[in-house]
Order: sequence, then C-alpha cells, then structure tokens
Amino acid sequence: MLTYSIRRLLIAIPTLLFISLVIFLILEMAPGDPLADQPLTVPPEVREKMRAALGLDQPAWVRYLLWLKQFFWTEPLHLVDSLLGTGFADPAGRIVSWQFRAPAMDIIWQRLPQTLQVVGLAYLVGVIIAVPIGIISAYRQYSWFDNIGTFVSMVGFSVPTFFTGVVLIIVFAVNLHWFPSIYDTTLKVTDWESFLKQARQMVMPVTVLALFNASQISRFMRASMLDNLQQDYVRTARAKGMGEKVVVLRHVLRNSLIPVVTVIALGIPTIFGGAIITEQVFKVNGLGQLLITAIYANDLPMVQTLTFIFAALTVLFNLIADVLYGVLDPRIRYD
Amino acid sequence: MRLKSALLGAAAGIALAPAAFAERGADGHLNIIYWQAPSILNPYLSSGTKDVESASMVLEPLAGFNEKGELFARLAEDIPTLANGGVSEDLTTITWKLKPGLLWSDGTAVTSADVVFSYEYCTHPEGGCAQAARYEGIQTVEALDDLTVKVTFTAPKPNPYNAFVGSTSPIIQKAQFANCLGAAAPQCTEANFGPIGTGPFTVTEFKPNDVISMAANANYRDPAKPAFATVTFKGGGDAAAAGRAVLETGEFDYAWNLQLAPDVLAGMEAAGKGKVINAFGTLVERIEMNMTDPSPSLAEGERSTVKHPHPILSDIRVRKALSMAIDRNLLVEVGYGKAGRPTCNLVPAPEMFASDNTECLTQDVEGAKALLEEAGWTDSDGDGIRDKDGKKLSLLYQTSVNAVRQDFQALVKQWWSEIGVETELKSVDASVFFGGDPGSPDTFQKFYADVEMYANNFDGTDPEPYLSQYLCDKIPGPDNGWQGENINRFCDPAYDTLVAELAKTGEIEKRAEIAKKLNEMLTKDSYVVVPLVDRGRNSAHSNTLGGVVLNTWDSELWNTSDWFRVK
Amino acid sequence: MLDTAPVRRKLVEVQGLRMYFPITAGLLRRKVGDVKAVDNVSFDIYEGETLGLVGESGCGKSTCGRVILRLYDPTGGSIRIEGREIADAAQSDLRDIRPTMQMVFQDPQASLNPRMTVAAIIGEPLDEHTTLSKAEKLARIYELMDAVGLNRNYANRYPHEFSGGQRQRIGIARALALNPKFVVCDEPIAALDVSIQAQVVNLLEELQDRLGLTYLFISHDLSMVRHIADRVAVMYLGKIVELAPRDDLYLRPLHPYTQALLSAVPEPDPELETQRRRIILKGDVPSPANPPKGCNFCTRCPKVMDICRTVDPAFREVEPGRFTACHLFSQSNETAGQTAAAEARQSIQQGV
Ligand SMILES: Nc1ncnc2c1ncn2[C@@H]1O[C@H](COP(=O)(O)OP(=O)(O)O)[C@@H](O)[C@H]1O
Ligand SMILES: [Mg+2]
Repeated sequence: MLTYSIRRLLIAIPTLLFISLVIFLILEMAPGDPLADQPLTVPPEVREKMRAALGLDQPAWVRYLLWLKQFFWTEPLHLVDSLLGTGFADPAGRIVSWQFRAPAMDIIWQRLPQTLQVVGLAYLVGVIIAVPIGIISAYRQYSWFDNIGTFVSMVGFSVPTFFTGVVLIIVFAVNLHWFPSIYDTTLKVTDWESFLKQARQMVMPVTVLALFNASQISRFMRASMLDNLQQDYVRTARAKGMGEKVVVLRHVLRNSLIPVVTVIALGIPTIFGGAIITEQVFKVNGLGQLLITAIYANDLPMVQTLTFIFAALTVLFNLIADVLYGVLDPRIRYD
Repeated sequence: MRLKSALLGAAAGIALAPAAFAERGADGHLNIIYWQAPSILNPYLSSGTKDVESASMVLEPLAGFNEKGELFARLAEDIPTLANGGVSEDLTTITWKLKPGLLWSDGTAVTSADVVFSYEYCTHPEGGCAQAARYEGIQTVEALDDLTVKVTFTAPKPNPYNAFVGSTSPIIQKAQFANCLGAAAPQCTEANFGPIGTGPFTVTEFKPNDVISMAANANYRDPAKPAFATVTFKGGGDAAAAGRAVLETGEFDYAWNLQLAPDVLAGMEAAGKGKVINAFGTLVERIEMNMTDPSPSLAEGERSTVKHPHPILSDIRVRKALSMAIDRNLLVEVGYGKAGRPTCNLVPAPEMFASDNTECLTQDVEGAKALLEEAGWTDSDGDGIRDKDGKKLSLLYQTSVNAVRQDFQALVKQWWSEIGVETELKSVDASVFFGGDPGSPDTFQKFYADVEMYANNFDGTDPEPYLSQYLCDKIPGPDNGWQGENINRFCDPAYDTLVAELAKTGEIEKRAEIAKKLNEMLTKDSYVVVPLVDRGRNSAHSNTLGGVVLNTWDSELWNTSDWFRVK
Repeated sequence: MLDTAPVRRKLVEVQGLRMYFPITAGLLRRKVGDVKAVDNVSFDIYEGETLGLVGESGCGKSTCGRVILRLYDPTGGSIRIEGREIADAAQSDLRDIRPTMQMVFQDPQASLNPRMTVAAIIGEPLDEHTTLSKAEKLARIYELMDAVGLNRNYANRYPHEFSGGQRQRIGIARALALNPKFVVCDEPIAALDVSIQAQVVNLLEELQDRLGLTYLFISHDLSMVRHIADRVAVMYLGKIVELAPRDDLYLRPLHPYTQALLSAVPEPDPELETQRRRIILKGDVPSPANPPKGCNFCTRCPKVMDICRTVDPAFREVEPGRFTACHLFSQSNETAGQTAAAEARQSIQQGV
C-alpha cells in the first residue's frame, strides 16, 4: 500500500504540472483585463505603468515559469520560514495578487478558517444526516419515508443554492428576524454569548449547503444499500438467524459504506473550493468568494494559485479515496 | 465661502442632532456595507471606487469636495487661490499650508515631508501608481518649511487642484511607506492594508475583499469626533443584498451605490427601516457616433481610422436626426427611476459648467424624418428602411452586457426604425468592452461599430481634462495601440484651439464659459456625442444614522466624522 | 425403497405453499399483478433423505427453497419443520429454529460477506445462537474447517482469496456451524468447475452420512440429482409437476414435462445414447406473472388435451409414492389416464 501510494504521488507530479499549464493557458486566453474595473478616468499612460507594475509586460511563458518557481519554490520556503522563523525565502519572490498587491497565499490562509468552518461543517452535517436517511430509504424502499426522502433530495439537489439561500434570507432574516442576513467574519468566539451569535449566523448557510450535500450523499448511500441488500450474503446472514439490526448494520451497511466513503472523500476538496455561490449569498467571504472576486477582477495569479490548489487537493483526495477503498475493501489490493 | 459653509454646517448640526456635541465614540458601532469589497486600502495602488472610498475614512487629502462640488480644506489650513496669493499670478505654482498641530493616528506629527513623499510615492516610475494622472504636469513639490508645501508646474495650470485634492490623492505617512517606493510597493502589505492616516478612523483589522474593522482615531483633530467608536465595513455580495441589509433587516447602517431597478428599491424602502438617498454627479450615459468608417471590408489597421470618414454619420443631419428620435424621459423611467435624469450635456455638472442645453429633451420623430429627407435619405424601395445611392441607412449599435443597456438598445432601435433607420444590436462582455486589449476587436476604443453606448464621467469638478479627450491628437488608432480617449474620432481645429485657451485661463467664470462652449460643440452643435441620461447614484442609510450627506464629487464617505446615531 | 420411505419421520412438510412477488407499475407503484414464483406446492421431506428439486431456470426452485427457510414471507400455505408450523411465524420467533435449517447458496462468492474473514463468517452464528467461550468457538471453527476440508491456517483470510470450490466449502462449513438437521442446497455446484463439482457433491454426501443431514438439493442438472437424490421433484412454472423416488422417475417418468426433460439428458452408455430420442418442446416457458389457464404446461405439452387448457390438474399420488399433476392420470378420466400412462411408458421405453 505504501509503495502504491508513493508511486501514485510520483505520477501525480507530471499530472499536476500539466494541470497548472492548462489552467495558465486557459486564463491567458480568456478575455479580460486586470485593469478593466479601474474607472475610465484613469488615463492610458497610467494604465500602461500599472500593467508593467503587475508584470504584465512580460511574455506569457516567462510569467508561467515565474509562477512555477514562486509556487513550488518560494512559497514552500516561505512556509518553512514562517514556521521555523528562518529566512530562506525572498519575500519579493512570492506570488502577488493583483487586486491586493499582497502575497496571495497570505490571503488564502486568512480565508481558510472561514470556509472550513461553514462549508466544512455543512459537509459534516450533510454526511451525518445523509447516511441514516440513505439507510432507511433503502431498507424501506418505496415506503412513504423513502418517497419523501427522494422528493426532498431531488429538490435539494436540483434547486440551486442561490435560490434556497435567498429564500431562507427573505423568510428568516428579512421577515422573521431570526438570523442575520450578512455573515460577520470579524466575530470572534470568546464566550457563550459570542458562541451563540456565531451559531446563529452559521445556521442558514450551513443548512443550505448541508441540504445540498445531504441530498447527494443520501442518494449514494441509498443506491449502495440497495445494491447490497439484494446480495446473497445478506440472505446468508438472515439464514444464519442474525437479527435484522445485525444484518442491516453489520453486514449491509459496512459493505455499502465502502463506495460512499470514497464518494465522501472525493467531495472533501470541494470544501476547500468553498461553496462559491453560498458564500456569495451569505457573504461568508471564504475561499469561494475569494476565487469568484479574483475571477471578476482578472486577478490571474490569485485565480491560478487557487485553482491549482483545488486541482492538487482533488488529485490528493482521489489518491486518498483509492487508498481508503483498499483499506475498507479486502478484495482490493494494490501491490 | 468658508465661513458660510461652516455656519450652515453648524446650523444643520444643531437642527438634526443635539448629540453632535457629544464626546468622541459615544455613539458606539457603525456598520457600512459596500457590495463590492475593498481589496486594498492604498488608493495609490488601486483606483477602484470601493478601495478609494473605504480608504477615505482613514486617509485624507489636503482638500476635498463637498456635496456641491466646492472645495474645502481638510489638512490644509485654507484653500490657496489667486485671490489669497496661494496660487501664483502666472498659474505655475500653488502653495499649500498645513493646519498646525495635526497628528497621524500613531501620534506623530503631520509635516510637509509627508506631502512631498506622497507625491514621490505616486510618481515613482516603477510603482504603477493608479492615481498618477493627479500628479501630471508637476515639476517639483518642495517643502518650504514644516507646514508649507510648494507645487511648481511645468506650465501654467489654471486648475491646480488636482494633486493632494480629493480622496484619490490622499497624504500617506512617509515613515510608514518610506521603504515601499516603486517596485517594493506590493511588499508593504501591512502598510497597504492598514495605512496610518489622519482621518476620523483607523484600521484595526483588514480582511481583503471581505471586511475592514475600524476604530475612532484617538488623534483626530476634532476632539468631539467621530461619534462612532468602531466601524465594521463589510464588502461583497450584490447590491440587492446590501440594500436588504440596510432597508429591510436593519443590520447595516449604510449601503453604497444601490444599482437596482427603481421598483425593487422602492419595495425595499417600504419596509421602513431606512431611506434611499440620491445625488447626481457627472456620469452621463451617452451614444457616441463613429466619425470614421468601421466597415469590415476595410483592411485591419484602416478600419475605424481617420483615413476613412464615416459614409453615413459624417453628415450632421443624420446624427441630429438620430438624436431627435430618442425619448430620453422614457429611457430614464425605464432604466434609472429617481437615480437618473435626461440630459443633453456631456458635462451636466457642476452647475456653473453645465450649459442650458435642453433642446434634445423632447422627442421629435417628425423633425427627424424631415431632416433625413433633407439629407437625401429616402425610402426608395418602400421596405421601411431609408437608402441613398443604393446604400441602406443601416447602423451597428454596440454596448456592454448590462440589463439596462440592453433595454436602452431595444428602445432606441425601435425609435430609429420609426424614422427609417435599420439598427443591428451588439452587446459585448463588459470586461472585454472596457478591457482595452489592443488584440480584441470588441473594445470600445477600437469602435468597430457605427454607434456605441456607455457611461463616463470625470474626476473632481473641473471638466478640462475630460473635454481635452476630444482633441484631434487623442484619436485611438493602430499607431498608438488603440489607446486614446477621443473615441468618436472627432476632430475640429476650432475645438482644439478653444481647449488650448481653456488651459491658459485661470479665472473661474471664464473657464466655465469656455467649458460650456466646448460641451456644446460636442453635443448640440455637432451631435457627435449624444447624451442620454445623467446618472445619479442611489445609496441608503438606516433611519438611525444621521449626518449622511451624499457626495458625488468625492468619496461617499467624505464626512463620516460627522455621522452620528439618531436617538 | 418404496417400503422404507413411509417408516421414516417427516422432517419437512410443505402444504399448498405459495410465494407471489407483487408486480408494481407507474409512478405510484400500484400493484398490477403477481409473479407466481411458487404456486401451490406440496411435498414432504423425510429425515435423512435427499430430495432433489429440478426444473428449468426461472421455474421457482430457489424461491421455493428460500421460502421454506422463511427467507421470504410466504403468500400462503403451510411449512412445518419437525412438526412446527413456521409459515406465519414472526421472524423473531424463528430465531430459535434457525439453527435447525440452513442453506448453501449457488454463488459462493456473492453469498459470503466480502468484508468478513472465514473465521468471522463461520463463527458469527455461534455468537448469535450459542454461549461458547472464545476458545471453544475457535475450536468449533477449526473443527468445521477440517470437516469441509479447509486448511485451518486460512481462518483469517477473506473470501476473495479462495478458489470457487474452497469458497463453497466455506459456505458449507458456515451452514453446518450450528448442527442443522435440514439443509437447502440451492444449486451448490452450478457455479463451480466440473472437476470441482464432484468433490463438493462428495463432501455433501459424506457430511450427510456423518451428521445425518436432510437435504433439499436444488439443481437444474438432472444427472447430478440422479446421483445424489433419494427422491426427485420436478418443477415447472412455480408448480411441482411430478414427485417420485429417483429410480422410478428416471426409468419411467410419468409427466410429459419430465419425459421431455429426461430425454435431453445424455446417456452415459454410448449404445443407449445413440438410441435416445429427444423430445423437443416447442415455444417458450410462459411468464410466471401470467401463467396459462388450466395446466401450466398446456402451451408446450406434446400430449395436450382440451381439458388441459381449462382445468388445472391436481397434484395427486397416482401410484404408491409417486405423485404427479397431469390430466393423463386424473381419476375422473381413469381409462384415458391409464392408456396414456401405458402409452407414456411405451414411449419412454422406446426412448430408453
Ligand atoms: N425477489 C423477487 N422479486 C420478484 N420476482 C422474483 C424474485 N425472486 C425471484 N423472482 C421471480 O420468480 C421466478 C422464479 O425465480 P427463481 O426462484 O430464482 O427460479 P430458479 O431458482 O428456478 O431459477 C422468476 O421469474 C423470477 O424472476
Ligand atoms: Mg435459482
């Protein structure tokens, strides 16, 4: 398993380099200009100077190589520096965001907790409610519970989060005043009161996202349970005289969870990607919002860095999912 | 003038709020929301409105503009003028005096060295300063003593109030930015994200593109101000959400620039938590006529260049007819509601510069038809489209993707079809249209269309640079990489001469007279620029926030030091 | 053989057993009909014997085996194991009788939980139904592994690490863990290589002798059934059409369907094989959701009569120990039946 993992990681390197090149080329070819949102009152000469200050006067391949060096050399060194207090990295060589004129990675680190808190919690809640719903739906296939579950997950999956989000805001924030409509990212949890405040402002975004996640995962869980419930080994377990609880939870569930666990693992990078729309709707301003504003502002270094990190996480979690599969399913061996 | 406005301000203070005389920080917390989030708090590195305005609560210039577009002193003791001797007779120097005893928020003294440094910072050749235009034409900036700064221009400068005036040209602290000149600018993250200033507030925490936390500046020059102790400046989302947060849920006190459909805004206001306020500046939505031939049959590099005059639009009668066919009142009603008013002027304000040009405000379809007949455009084949010498009166009309603009396009197309003009519509993504990429055929500068529509305005109150955009030598073309602001390719030697005269005139009344004439030359005399709507701005504040005065000449947050909580 | 059978004790008694699966359709999943997988089946199994259950694929053999073990809830009829009625007992009440009756499945791969080791699979029922200590349990697992010929060292391996034959041995060991009396073997060798099949069948026979087991041996392989079964029941479309002692059935099948089935079995004796005449059945097996009116076999029967298309023949004992459901042998039509039987006999003799 270890050699397998190492081999996979090694294969990932050219893959990632290729991905980074593709991202760069796409961004390069996409229309748009980082200075587009500067007012028309800024004269062209000034624009030219600003362009040069961003390094945009360099040819594309130079900028790509520079980014590679910045991402794979300077930024890791800087990380080492900030952890150990050393001074290997040249601060001038870091990836600089065009909109902030500040190191992109610093902003990404600053945004991470916000996203992990809201989107991560939503994912967790989604998984926690999806698994039992999937189990019961499959076990009682076509019962009213299953039918309602199917309906709700269809709704949760097909109605976009910007719609559910705005509906929740209008009902619970505008009309009922239960929850705030704007997420306060400056809130620090220090005592019980601020904790409640934090919980209150997380309710709506977490609900919207959890519903979305749960509808997806519960469908997977249900399908996987149904697959396994038909299997002979379940009949074997019943023939052995095991109780229904044992049959379902020990035999069926454990086997059904194998593909579901990998689906869940594959979904984790999307947490880091942030829920772009939900973050926008509730002004959570995490990584998703960072990406979308960077795209709007044509902040290429930021977009490139973020998308590449998401790509790397996706590759990594693919590997983790495969390894998990190997761990969970004794039939699969990577040797 | 100063005395008068001070008295007026005091009177307003008394009338509105006895609490205005309370001590600093007595009114607690202020919540501001901008649906575009600030990315950086250094206006010299970004001219995005969101960045400049948020920074204006912290950084201040020597002088600013009030809601009427009048200058008033901020860090300066007084406004230097020809009359008080602050501006030299030959219009080549202006001498500013700082208020004595001013402190930065860190407690150190503000000196003329900071002013000189601000100039050096923005004019550094490698800095890519976004406000470099404000320091154009300056030869030297010298500190005469600790409180006196003398600016010398390379040539007579009739409007010397560019450098150090307005929120786009603030004074930054030398001590903080000394190592941030030129290429080093982006490495000073701490300074760019938390500049030390003289304004009513200081930055306590800045999360770019998200939120700024501010606190009252302990060293602010007026010991009773600001009334608010702390501020949360939230950014992001969309205009609707921002409006909702102020007008419907009451979570926020102030929302900036609510570009929302008139009925949506009215609906929100009905919730009763706050008020929508509006004001007009110089932003004019207009149709620009291409004086050159954009025909795709021409070679690349010849298209839309002065080599080929426009085959249809070179005739003023056609241009005038196109303008006459438009019902500007309906456009306003459809697109902007209270935040717009019809205009025939390119320079609609300040009042003293605005020509009383109102002829275009009434639609005249019959007149337009007659004019086209006179110009020889008749519908000879009876297909409803006029033609002349076998050429159809058919135009390509482009603009950026934007719901209101597409509505306008449809309406204008309808009116033009009534007078027998066929119109083909085109809309280009805003980032491409305004992106200025010389490689793209779809930028507004390339103007590969017969007419195009967008909005533009000018900085500050003086229209001279704005009107200078229409000089013959500012025509974009392949030789200057399609950079150049004379989008219409308008070229009139008389106009150029008059602009040169404006550049030599210091007397304000004479300047106004010339500016009005220039404005008319572009609009009612030539119909090269066809103004449609004077676009104002909607912002909103909660019922509990007092002291808000919407200002379109400077930052909207120009007077946050006077804001208070209505009790 | 005929005279020994009645002396034995009946271990399993099945009367009028029916197992219908509902067919639903439409958005609301309304019930629109039934798959009559097992339709009015009656038979007994004597202690220590092997009853073969043969029939084409899809005729309901597996369903029959499963419903007898109450892996399905029967639609109707009665099932008695050791005289105890279990057809309508609640699953919880069945717990104590489960050890008595066990099942060996057709697909040894699918019937073993892939995430459990051999020891866990064999040992699980011990946890559930006994109070053995850990060591005793392990000893029992080893004993069972020995009994089915599995190497003890493999106790901690997973099913996928074994060959098909070994897996079936695991399945058998698992079935035997609780000392059952009655084992349903649902095509236990169908998924195995021919070379392995004999080993597994021999193992089953050997275990039967040693442990005194009673088998319901389900198969579509008539020669294998001939080898292992004492009596044989033939199923067609959810019903048993004939049940007889093995030798009688193979020598002298009564029901036209049995005759057709047997005619398709190759004879080991080459001389006889050349004389064998196949009875080719025409048409397809009707759907169990929509069986024909009258006799289920009437659509394909070479000897079909008018009555067959209207009246469902009763399943009756036509000779001592021999049961069949065919109008050729029905009482009300005795003479015709006898002539038909004689004719049948003749035709078979010709065929043999
Ligand atoms: N769980 C079930 N639901 C619906 N129909 C079933 C089910 N199990 C079996 N059947 C149907 O019952 C009939 C008999 O199946 P089965 O007992 O498996 O036949 P055999 O074992 O003889 O091949 C078939 O038509 C099959 O489709
Ligand atoms: Mg079967």
